Amino acid sequence: MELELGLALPTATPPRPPAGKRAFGDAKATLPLFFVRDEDDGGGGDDHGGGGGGGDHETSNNRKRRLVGWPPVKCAHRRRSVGRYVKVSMEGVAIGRKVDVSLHGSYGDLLRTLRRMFLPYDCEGGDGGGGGGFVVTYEDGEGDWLLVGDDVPWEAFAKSVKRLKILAYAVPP
Amino acid sequence: MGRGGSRASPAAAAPPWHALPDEVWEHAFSFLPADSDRGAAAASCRSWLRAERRSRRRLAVANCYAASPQDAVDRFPSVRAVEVKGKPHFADFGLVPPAWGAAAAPWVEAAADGWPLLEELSFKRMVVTDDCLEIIAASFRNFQVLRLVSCEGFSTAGLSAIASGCRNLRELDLQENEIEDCSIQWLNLFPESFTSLVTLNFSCLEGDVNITVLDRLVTRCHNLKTLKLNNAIPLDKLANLLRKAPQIVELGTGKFSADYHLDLFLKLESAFSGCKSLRRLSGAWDAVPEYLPAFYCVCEGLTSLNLSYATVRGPELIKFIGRCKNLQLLWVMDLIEDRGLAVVASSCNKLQELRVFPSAPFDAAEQVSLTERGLVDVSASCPMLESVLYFCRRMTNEALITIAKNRPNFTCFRLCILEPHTPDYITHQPLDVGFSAIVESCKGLRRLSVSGLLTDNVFKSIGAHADRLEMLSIAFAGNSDLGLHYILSGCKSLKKLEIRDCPFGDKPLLANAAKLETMRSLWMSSCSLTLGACRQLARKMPRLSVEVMNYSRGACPLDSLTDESPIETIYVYRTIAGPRSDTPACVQIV
Repeated sequence: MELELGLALPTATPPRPPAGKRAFGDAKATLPLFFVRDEDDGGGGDDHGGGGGGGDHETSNNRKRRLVGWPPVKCAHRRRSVGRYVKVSMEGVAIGRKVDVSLHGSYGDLLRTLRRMFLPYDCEGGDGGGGGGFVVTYEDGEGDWLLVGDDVPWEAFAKSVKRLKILAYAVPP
Repeated sequence: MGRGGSRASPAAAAPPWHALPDEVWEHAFSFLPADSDRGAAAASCRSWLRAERRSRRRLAVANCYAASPQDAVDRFPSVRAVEVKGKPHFADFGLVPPAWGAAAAPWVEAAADGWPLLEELSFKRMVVTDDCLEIIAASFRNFQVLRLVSCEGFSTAGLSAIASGCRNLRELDLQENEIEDCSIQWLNLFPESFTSLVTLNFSCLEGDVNITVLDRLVTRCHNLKTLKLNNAIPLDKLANLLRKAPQIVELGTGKFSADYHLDLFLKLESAFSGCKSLRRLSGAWDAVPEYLPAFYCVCEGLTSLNLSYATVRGPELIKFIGRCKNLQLLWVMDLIEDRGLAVVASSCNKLQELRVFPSAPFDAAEQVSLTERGLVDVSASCPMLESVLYFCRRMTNEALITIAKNRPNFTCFRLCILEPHTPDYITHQPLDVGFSAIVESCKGLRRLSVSGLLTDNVFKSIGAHADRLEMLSIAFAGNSDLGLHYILSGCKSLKKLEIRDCPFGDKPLLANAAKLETMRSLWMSSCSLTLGACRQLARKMPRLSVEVMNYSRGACPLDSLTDESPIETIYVYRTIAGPRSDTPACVQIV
């Protein structure tokens, strides 16, 4: 939930339509001084009825005010380009990263990106669950931790994934 | 009838022109290319009016509230193809309240009653219900073309009615609609005997379709020329479908992402090599660089490429576009960057229309190297370029002047600098000079969108020079009433004006009230208008409908508000139908 301080009179937010994904968007006629947000939950967040200006996917660094209907891109474009950023952490590494799941089309793609992010000096090939020594896990919508892989079709995974974690395992001799 | 000799009675050989039978005029009018020409002819005299209106076959209603459906049916009884547009353009960006209006139902009902021979129906930005689709399916025995663009209100149940009821359907074209998925397999409802489809576009549908049924449909419709799939169709199924329809001219791919597999690549490549007539390509292309070479065999034949939903970037994208030497239309994301546009400039010399969309419109930190440089390059090397839509983060007056000099043949120039009030990034001056150069050089300019830091001066130029301008979009620009006054007192051909977040007030609106009746519509939101001015305007101009939308007031009746009350949004349009009766609570007609 966002708290906004504005210079002008407060405006009543018009109700969102019950069905339909093209939400009207909040009519923020005020000039917000800043956004104060609850702790960023890291998960890309779901659509809240989609489109419009809804569903903030900004990182905590990016506190731009959102103008209604600006820039003038249609809902379909807006939906695609908002992205689904999820946190990625690696066992034993203090600082995590974020990855935009929606920019990837398959598990292979995602794993390539993760390898680039966390193992930049790793020249080994390897595929599947992260190659020798590492396995990628994810937290789903129900809070369970599962192995990233072909159990679930990519599209379903991309919609439900909340967080990723890379674990090391000892390769048996 | 002798040669030479006296011509004492010039009318003796033929009846005087004004007594020619209607059929002669109807035939003559069929050669008039534009509806406006036909309209002008109809206005000259009663016999031409009669002949023209009875022979009119195509009707375009640009504002569904400008006339009533019954007016249209009464005046043009023989129409076979109708197009109706509803909500104002800014509805695309969420600025129009939900339930604003633009219901298609009254048009569908009037058509069912008055145009039983109707063959084509097209709705844009309207609310089309399943009921509407059922009525369409049941009412027109020779119905052939249904086109719905940016509409909402219907579901796959309505599509089932069309599929099962329209025996002669040639085109089902669904562009960017909000369609509710009732999990009804509507494709199944095209009968086995149905083979007349030429265009099938369901790209905006979010749910699954039965691929086997689609395959059978595509196989038996031998005349299928346009096929645009949705995200539910995976790559390998695409290859199968293409095998069944090698005659395809326009293709929208389905979901274009998959792990790279050599056999799938080869399958795709082989399928595409069979499509010798493929000219137009579009689709949802996610993370696909490895598969792009599968398309190389069709690149040379492509005239139209829409990658505006593609997040693919990098050298593969550029290599691919560089092979498309015959492109006339290119829509792409800014991920192409300046270096990609440089390749477009050198390879695609037949380019007529370029659109570059922002991949990260809300994220200023996104590092995409797309600047004014890209547009300058393309404008320099593509002599037929006449239509541009360009989203970028920086611009200079110098670049705009160069572009204007290179391309005086622009008919449509829409520049959107993402951050409002952005000045020339080198001189820090407003972009007045640059946009002035555009309107002075491009004498045929019909559509213009301005952005960046702009003062009233740019509007002085636009008002004075943009004689052919029909549509103008302004946002976060100008410094006083003068800006709006320049526009409304100039711009001889202006039809549509849409303005948001500009310091324009009551005076120029009232001073130029008569101008508004020569225009189709005016939209102004987040400007400096008061209710009093709206009331005055409505009183002065009875043939205008003045709609006021005030989000902050909600359903508060206007009567209780004073003249000084500020107004958030007005939408003004000319109409012969009087005030409409279907406004929601937040919209009121003054």
